Amino acid sequence: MRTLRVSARTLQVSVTILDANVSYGAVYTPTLAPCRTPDDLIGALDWAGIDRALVTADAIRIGCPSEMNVRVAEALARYPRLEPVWAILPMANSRQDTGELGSVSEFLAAMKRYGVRALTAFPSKHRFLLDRLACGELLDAMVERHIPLLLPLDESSGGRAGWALVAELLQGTPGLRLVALGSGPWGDDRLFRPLMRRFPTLYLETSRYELDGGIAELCRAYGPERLIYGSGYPRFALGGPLLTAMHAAIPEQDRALVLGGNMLRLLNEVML
Amino acid sequence: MSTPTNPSPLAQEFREHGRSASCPIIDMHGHFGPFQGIYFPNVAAEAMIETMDRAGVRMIVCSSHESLIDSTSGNERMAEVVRRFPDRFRGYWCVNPNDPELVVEQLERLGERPEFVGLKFLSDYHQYPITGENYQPALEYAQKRGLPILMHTWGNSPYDGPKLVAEVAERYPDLTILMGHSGYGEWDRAIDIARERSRVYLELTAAYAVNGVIERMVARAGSEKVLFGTDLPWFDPHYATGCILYAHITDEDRHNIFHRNAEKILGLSKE
Repeated sequence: MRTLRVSARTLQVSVTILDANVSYGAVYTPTLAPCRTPDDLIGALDWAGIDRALVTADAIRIGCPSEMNVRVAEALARYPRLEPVWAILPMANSRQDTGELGSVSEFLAAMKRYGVRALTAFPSKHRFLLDRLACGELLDAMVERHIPLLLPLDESSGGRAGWALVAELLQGTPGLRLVALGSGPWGDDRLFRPLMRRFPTLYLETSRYELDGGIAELCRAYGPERLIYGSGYPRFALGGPLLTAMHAAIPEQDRALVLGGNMLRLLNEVML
Repeated sequence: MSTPTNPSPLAQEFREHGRSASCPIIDMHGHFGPFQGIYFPNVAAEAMIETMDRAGVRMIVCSSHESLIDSTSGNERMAEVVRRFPDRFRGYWCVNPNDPELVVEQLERLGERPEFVGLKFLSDYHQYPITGENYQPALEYAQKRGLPILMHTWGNSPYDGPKLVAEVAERYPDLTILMGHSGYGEWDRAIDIARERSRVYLELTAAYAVNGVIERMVARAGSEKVLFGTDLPWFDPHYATGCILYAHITDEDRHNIFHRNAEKILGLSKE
């Protein structure tokens, strides 16, 4: 951790910049600027002065978590700055269902073994219902163990998409720590602000939140603890959300929370 | 916080101060007033100026959202802002092709309106193609008077996709066309047009966020053909600025994008 220099003065606020939304992987669809390997990703983070990142690898999103969760964790094991995020599927139960990731207790034990402290879900891509019926036991365990769910807002489940899916999840599983990824940029505030008010464990990741003055207003309205810096790299450029968060009109201690303090706290509170 | 390996002095200056004294930005794509599908915290002209000051934006060229629907009252609203803040705002006169007689009538008086330095086409919104005959008087007027036209352009759009921009540029070779959003998504075709046509520019609003697109524009069309824009009051200028500062281009390229190209188009001195 170092001192963050902004606004023409040196501020005595220690900041670890943690990007909560990055990826890497083989080129699957047309891509202008791919980031193929963890080494490429480290190079990109260094270019922008970003300390750490939560990594949802393309191999997990595009491929199948049943194999790729572990393979990505093994690939990232020698990169202490890169922390893997695993994707969930419906868990095995007494009737087995599909259960590729094992039972909830087996899955949590694997998370502990591989140092995984955050989960994500791609219910439309991986074709399952992200709801109480299919995932209730796992969602309850996530609440109990404070495991955050990083949910891309371009996902849908059971006819609900984006913020409507977020609302359903948080109504069905109060206390779930849900980080909504990729809000905006065409104006989501009317959609999500009532949810921020209603659900105190809802967090907004800022990669696509470009709204002028938005970060400052959200910090004032809901507290700086509710915003999580992320970039969406390599699909999106690293520098935009970074400079936006670094120069939002908020106090320096709030900025330190947004840039990394909040996500670090969420990770450190996970109990496995 | 780690020290970036990006060696750009401009990036360092913006990172520390949020703006640069040596690089006063000109935003070539702004708006004014509320819009139906989005909430704006900073919608008043004074609030926009506050944002511009924080982000080192010297001047912005805007069209009012209202002019999209009612070109008479909306353009007047824009003119009033320019008159109040002549050092910070310039206006685009928004053309509504679905009211062609009014367009002709308005153009006859536009020469007396120093608040406006160009025209604005929002063809996707008006659902009328930029190649349609109702735009013809405005295109001829702008070419004759040397006024730039900022066109909303979007990839594969039947109204303002890059293919149609190429047709307009062919028909009006002396017209300065600013491709708003750079034909979002249809990057290579938009870049090719900017490379081949000396008066066609790529404007970055929204496009800047797509990783790698700025590098591709600069490599293929040259930084002399790329313009800074934000849609303010939609998007924080720091977002676009950050994308440009951390793109893999030179500071000379960044100066071209941030202000030099706009200064040339608008006939402004550096300060």
